[in-house]
Amino acid sequence: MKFPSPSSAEAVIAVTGLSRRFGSKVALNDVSVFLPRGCVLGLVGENGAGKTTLIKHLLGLLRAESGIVRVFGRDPIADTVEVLGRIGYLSENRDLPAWMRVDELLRYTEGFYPNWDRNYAEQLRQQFALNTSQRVRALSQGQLAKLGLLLALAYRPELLLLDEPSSGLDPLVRRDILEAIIRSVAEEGRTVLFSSHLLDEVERVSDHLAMIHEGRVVFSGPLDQIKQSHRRLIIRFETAQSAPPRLEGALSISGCGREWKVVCGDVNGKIAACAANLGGVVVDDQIPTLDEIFVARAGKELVC
Amino acid sequence: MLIAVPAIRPAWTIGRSIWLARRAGFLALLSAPLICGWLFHLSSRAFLEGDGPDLLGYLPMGLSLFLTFVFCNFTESDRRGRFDGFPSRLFTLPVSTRTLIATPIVFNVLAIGVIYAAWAKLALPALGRELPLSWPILYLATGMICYQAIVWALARFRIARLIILGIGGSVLALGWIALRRGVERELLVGVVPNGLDVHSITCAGLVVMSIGALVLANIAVENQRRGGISKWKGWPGTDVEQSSQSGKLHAQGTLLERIADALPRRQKRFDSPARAQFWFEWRRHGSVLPLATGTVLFVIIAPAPFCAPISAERVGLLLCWIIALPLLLAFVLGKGFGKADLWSKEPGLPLFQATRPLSNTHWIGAKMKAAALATVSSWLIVLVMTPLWLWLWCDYQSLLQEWRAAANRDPKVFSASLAAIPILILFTWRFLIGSLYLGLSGKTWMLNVTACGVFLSIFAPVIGAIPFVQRNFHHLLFPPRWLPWLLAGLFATKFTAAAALAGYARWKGLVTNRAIGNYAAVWFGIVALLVILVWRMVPFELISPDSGWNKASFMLLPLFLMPLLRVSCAPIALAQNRRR
Repeated sequence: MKFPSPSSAEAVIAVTGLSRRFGSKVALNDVSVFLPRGCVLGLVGENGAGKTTLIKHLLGLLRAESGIVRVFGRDPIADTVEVLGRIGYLSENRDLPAWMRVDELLRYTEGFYPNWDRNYAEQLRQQFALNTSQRVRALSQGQLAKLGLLLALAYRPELLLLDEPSSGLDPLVRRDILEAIIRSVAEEGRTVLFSSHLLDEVERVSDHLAMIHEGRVVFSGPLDQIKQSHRRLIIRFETAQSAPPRLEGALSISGCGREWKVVCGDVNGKIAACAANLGGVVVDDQIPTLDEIFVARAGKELVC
Repeated sequence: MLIAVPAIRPAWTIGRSIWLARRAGFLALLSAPLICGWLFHLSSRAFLEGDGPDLLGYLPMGLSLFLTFVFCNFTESDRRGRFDGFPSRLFTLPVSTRTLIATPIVFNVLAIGVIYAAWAKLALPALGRELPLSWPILYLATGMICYQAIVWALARFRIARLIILGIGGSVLALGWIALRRGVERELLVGVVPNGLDVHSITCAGLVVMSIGALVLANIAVENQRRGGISKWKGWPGTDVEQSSQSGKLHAQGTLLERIADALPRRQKRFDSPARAQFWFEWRRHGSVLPLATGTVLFVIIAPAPFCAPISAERVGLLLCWIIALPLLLAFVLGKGFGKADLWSKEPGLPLFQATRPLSNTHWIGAKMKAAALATVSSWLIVLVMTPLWLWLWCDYQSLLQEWRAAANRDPKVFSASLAAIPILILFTWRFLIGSLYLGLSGKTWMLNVTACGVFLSIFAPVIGAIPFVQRNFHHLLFPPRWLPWLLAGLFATKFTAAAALAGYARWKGLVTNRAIGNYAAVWFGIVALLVILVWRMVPFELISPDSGWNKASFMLLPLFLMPLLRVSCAPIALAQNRRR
């Protein structure tokens, strides 16, 4: 359940042992992530887990306190211009220059990228229904997100970094944005790092997944493999349990009375044995959803 | 307990949050009269003679009160920068608009009152100057309430607000002088019936004005709270316009943006990132100087047709102001020229800009080129409009005669006049780029420290220097003969530090050898030009041979005029801003 090693020549992103503190808060703790060319990596984690901090390191906006960060085999701090020239980035802040008109912003951004594809940019503009004479400050949040994505895609970057691209957007805009990303990935085999809270989106777009929790990578690997390696068990006890049963190896336990839901790693045999000792029996055994895995790994479920 | 009263409690809570957020700034402002009072006390003997007390006491007090007004600007911008008025986040609090506006106003009035009282009772008595408390505090409180009302009421009309605040500030200052000298008694003779005290009438007028301003503030903030902004659509300077097609609100930009839009716009694609960034810098920073110069020049020149011909004496005075105009504006604008966006309250780089594939060298180069274009454009406006103004509406003949007479007496006058133009252009550019490192650093504390530094560098040396100058005037005019060595030593230190910083930036890959070479060439070229001008223009034969102000000292002075060390800091500051 590991990505290719850092020595792989095809690794677009290679982060090894990256740590970063902000004052007393540990934002990233010995993080290692490797992303091969053509892969779509979904980066999930709760607020403040360190996703944006990791992305900022990839963009060269933060200097690594310890560890190594390489993008296209280069150091984003030392080779900022070369690295940024090959990355398309969409931030959750959408802090585009508010005073520009849309056409001015397109022309201005085009100046930075020799590979800017005017036809593709125009196609996206029409698809997103953006008015060229409108000022950026007059755009809605959804239009801003679309414009940001247009600017990130129009020069056909080798790597796309999307930091919460659909955060705070309505379902229609989210659909438009997601479709544009999926098309871009499907048609051109682009490498994408996609950070999001919305796990259904991540599941739809990504083929690899990494979860960050309190600055650490809890797990990473191909999405199917991650899902296959987790189980959701329903355990029924003979008598009602007043407190969650102690089941060694369980990631989360939720429920009440006689029936309890357990999410665990690939240790369901052990859990079943533990439950039997406590007078319980596994009545259902299924692959959990990504949501359930996320909640089990990141938080604690409520017991009624 | 007062705060137990239901009506007082919300106001108390808001007031407490204002105090917690602003106490550091308020205490810093309050420290100015205390420090100045201590300094005045230390050297009070020297200050008590001549005009020293008035100059040294009232100037810092005036600046301190001005800064208090700036500090008490209780506003917040919305996320997109369309609105800069009463903080809209407070609109959702379960309190009346009256309470909302009363709390910051009470805080601001208390702040200005306390700071004035500190100057009047702690600082100025050390200089032998006694100021009353009652009417000045009432006067300043009225000014503060009016100021706050204007700031809130014109939240969407930034340029109109600037103009009105400028006029209001001037009226406030003139009114202060009038009240201080008792001129209001002469002004109100015949208006006030006999038997009534003019001073009391003036104070009553101030109270009425305060109430009026409070009502205006309440109406304006209430209107904003209820989303009544559409009433203002279509006014000059507003950025909101109703689209006839979509029915949605479309921002059409501020007045400056509309002017920029009206100018011919580039339609071609940019050949390189450097050119794209140059366009950005010109649109956002560079164009401000010529626009401001043109506007102020127009304000100076516009009344000319109605009072032509303007006398030679006035022409001379106005000409001095016109020539100083680009320099003064560049000095002010230069402090923000390095920022990512001159108009933004956020000093840091927005992510969008920080992630453009643009080297630091090209970024700084774009800023310097935009500054150069701004300088040349501003001076072109001055050099085209001023002769027209002189020719059409001014009595320039006598000025011309005087100048010709001076040129006949000394031929250097003619060449000095010609040389003055490129020197003024150079200095305008120098003012624009001199503080690039500050804005590029994106650090609020650096900007604040610089603001304090400007305050200290203006007043602290003046406070200490005037007695020193009075005592050692002769020594300053005829400094020791080792002055050139002192200047050479200072320059060597500056040059070494600049070279070390440039070397560090080069080592870190923040700047290229070519960029260092280019700026060095520009620097040497300008300094060489200045040295030649000094060599040709300064009448060395008139200087005493015993004075340290000899030829060598004068030749060394131009080395300090063009920024070297500060420019070396710029790439390092930008790199730190881009990656923290």
